[in-house]
Amino acid sequence: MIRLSPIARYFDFTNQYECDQDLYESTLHRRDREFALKHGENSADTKLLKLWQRMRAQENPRPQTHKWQQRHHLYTLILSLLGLISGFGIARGVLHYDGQHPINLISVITVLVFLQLFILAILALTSLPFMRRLQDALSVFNPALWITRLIDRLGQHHINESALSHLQAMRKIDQSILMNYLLTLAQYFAIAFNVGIIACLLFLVFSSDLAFGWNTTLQIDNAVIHNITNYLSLPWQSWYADAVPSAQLIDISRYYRLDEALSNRAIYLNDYALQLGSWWKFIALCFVFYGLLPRIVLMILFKRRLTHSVAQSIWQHPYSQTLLSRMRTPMIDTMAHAAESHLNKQDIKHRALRTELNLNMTCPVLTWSNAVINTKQLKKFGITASRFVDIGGNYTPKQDKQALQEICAAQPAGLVFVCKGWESPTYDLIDTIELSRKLLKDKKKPILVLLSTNDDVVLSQDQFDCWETMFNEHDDTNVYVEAVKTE
Amino acid sequence: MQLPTEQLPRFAVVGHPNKGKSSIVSTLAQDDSVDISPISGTTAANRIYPMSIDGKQLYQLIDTPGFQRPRQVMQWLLKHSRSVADRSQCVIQFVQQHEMDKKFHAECQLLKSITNGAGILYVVDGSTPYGPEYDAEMEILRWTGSPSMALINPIRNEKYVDQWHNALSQYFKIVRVFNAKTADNEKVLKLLSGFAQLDNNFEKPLAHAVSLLQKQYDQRITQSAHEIARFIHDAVQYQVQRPFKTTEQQGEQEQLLKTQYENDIRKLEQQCRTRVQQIFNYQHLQTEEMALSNLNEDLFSQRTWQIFGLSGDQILTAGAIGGAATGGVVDLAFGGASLLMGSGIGALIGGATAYFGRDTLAKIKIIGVSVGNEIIRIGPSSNVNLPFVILARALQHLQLISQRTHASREILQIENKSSYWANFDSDTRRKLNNHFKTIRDASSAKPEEIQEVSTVIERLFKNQQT
Repeated sequence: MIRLSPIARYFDFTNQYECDQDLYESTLHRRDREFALKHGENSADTKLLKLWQRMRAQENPRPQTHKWQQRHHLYTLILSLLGLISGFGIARGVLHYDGQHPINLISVITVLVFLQLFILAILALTSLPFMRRLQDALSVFNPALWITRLIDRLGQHHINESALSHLQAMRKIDQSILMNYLLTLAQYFAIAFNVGIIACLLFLVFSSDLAFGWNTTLQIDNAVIHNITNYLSLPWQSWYADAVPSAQLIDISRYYRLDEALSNRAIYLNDYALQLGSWWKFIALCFVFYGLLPRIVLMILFKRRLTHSVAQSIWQHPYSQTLLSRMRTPMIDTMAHAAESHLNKQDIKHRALRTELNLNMTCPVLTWSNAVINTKQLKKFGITASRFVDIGGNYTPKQDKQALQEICAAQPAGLVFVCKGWESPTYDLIDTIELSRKLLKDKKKPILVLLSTNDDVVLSQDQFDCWETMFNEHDDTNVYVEAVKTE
Repeated sequence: MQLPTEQLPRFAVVGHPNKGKSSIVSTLAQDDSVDISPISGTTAANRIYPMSIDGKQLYQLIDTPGFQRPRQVMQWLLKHSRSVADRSQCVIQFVQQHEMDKKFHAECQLLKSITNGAGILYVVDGSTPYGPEYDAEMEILRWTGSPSMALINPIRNEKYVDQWHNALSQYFKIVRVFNAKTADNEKVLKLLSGFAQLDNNFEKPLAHAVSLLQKQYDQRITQSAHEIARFIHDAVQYQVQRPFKTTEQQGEQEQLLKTQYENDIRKLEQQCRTRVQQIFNYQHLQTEEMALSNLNEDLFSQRTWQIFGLSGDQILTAGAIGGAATGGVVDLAFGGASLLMGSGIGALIGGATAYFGRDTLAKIKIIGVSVGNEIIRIGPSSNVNLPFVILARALQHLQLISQRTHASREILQIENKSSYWANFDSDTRRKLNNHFKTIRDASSAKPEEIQEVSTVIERLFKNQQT
């Protein structure tokens, strides 16, 4: 899974929100609900949202998010390099040793340890809620702010739309997120700075001989310096006694630049140089414990604060509530999944009612399921009823067959079936008509299917078409379907 | 938890062809893809509509083909049954023996679902009279011994509802009237709850299903309100622009642009309609509505300069930066003693040149190609009534959609009553006016703003329903 930096996460959420606007709600619901069921719909809101973002970043990587991720890496890289170079460079200057006078420990500790501790103290102070104004004022000294502004200005010179939109986006960032982000970035610089200092010290220790001493204009007793070094050595006293300067070392390390007697110590030079050089362990551990480690702790702290403020900001985004609602709302599905299957049907035949059909015959009239018709209506089609016979309805198929056999035995000129027009034709009726054709033994004799109505129910064109289509399936061209009346 | 198949409530919707079985299924399943046609035999095979929650089924509706040869089936059953006690077994035997027989395909399909444990929902048309052709069907269903309910679906009118009630009561303990095309959400849920009467075991899953369906309906209203709010936001902020080179072209471009603006707003409206319909599961709905008009009134029209793709503000900033950079060289030369005045003065000069020299810069040609283009922009609309008109139209559409059933296949006619929005109370109108003003003045979409408008719209809709 892709792990986005907190700042990239912040922008990615908005990007994903904009992307989702183009999708249908049902698609989004299904996606988010399936996600929640997989990862635990009852998990904490922030956890769900975080996991959701990771999933979306993986499945739907956004170019703008990628750019933010790249920018973050760029800022980190540049700040780290600058920190490393400046730390190394400053340490090189402070630890300069020309062999004439030892490196002044007071300068080293003041510049490279106490100054850093002072900056940390200011940082801690400004982190207090009521110190916000001081925090804002001091932010101008933040190297992270300089670097981000420099990069964006360089981009702006090219009048690049992407750089402009980046600037606009930066301005819209929640203030707490921006502050935590800049503080996090600043720690990269600070950590690299301390690494640079330590690297420089180790390099010099390895590649040359160093000698440390201490001198000051102030009237300070050796015992005071001993106390100070003891306090400074507290973190490693118990497990690395070699790095704790002894009182004797402190005594012999004091020097004065006007002291010409230094050169008289030449006979003890090797021992003396060795002893003065042994300070390096103490100094290295001072850099680690008072420079590097606090910055690492701060880095972890600010990074956590940044992650928390981004998570809060995302959680407060209105779309988060929509997302969580989708995740926690069951997906209800009521539609069929299988495709519909249809019998092969001919195209619907739309045919206007024919009034000119005149069969001019006398024949039996079979009323299907108590359908009703009068002689006047029959006369319209040239039909004179020789007899009326009820079939279908409550009669059994066997009874219908017997009735038809009896009717057809008399060799009628044709047959008329009167059906209720508002009822759909069934294969029960079709079977009966086919049987009657068989019993007539003459394919040319007309069979008229008359669709009747009553005063309350009329026949619609759709219903008539339904009958037409049903009978079109049969190749008996002498079966006619007509309506007594329609809408 | 997924119920075992034997405990899953299943309901087979059976009856004579063309009596609205598929319409009822379409309404209950909220599926407008169900094939409803006047052609007899449209439903050729059983089709199952499971109601599932996160993939777990709560009940099933089964749409079946209509009876085609019930008298022949009855004849067979009477021939093979020895006593009342073996009737249901007889039906099972019939299905087993005739499953591959095309002649009884419809009967086997519908009886198979019943013999597999589905409850019976027998559907008749309350607008046509009862007739003896139904006797055989009802008798066959009684032979199955399955729990059953009759539904009178008054397709055209309720003329014969009472007659049917009397006839059906002879065969069914429960008889209900349900119009698949006009039933609102409340009636649909009431009917679903009523299915629990068929079997005590159905009560719990159906109650759960009904409760979820009610929540789903409420959610749909909320989602629709959000879509409408988004559309209003997009329409109010909408802008279009075109470049032109000469003043003569300006009039023509303006007219083209206004037409484009109107068409685009209409497209946005149509997209909103489609999304709301999708929320309510309408995939195939056709609508007829008078198009939005009078959009050209009070449109905001502006000529702007464009040089290398920059707006006037961007030119100003670029000029100032350029000036500052030049001034910065001066500062360096004086070793910082000029106190950065060089940069400051440079910025002022650069900015002033950019501001006053815009026209001049535009007419400069580079390599024979003119670098100056004018742009005409239309929008955003300053018409204060536009969002209200859009909102009223959208609410009408939502009202019709929320009340429509999925069985209805007619084109949805939306009559836009111009006085609709005049019915908003003054407090609501004031709130909406403030929101619309905020939207108009903002440079980009704020989700919070859309959410607030959405909440107002939802409240408005619910108030109008009550």
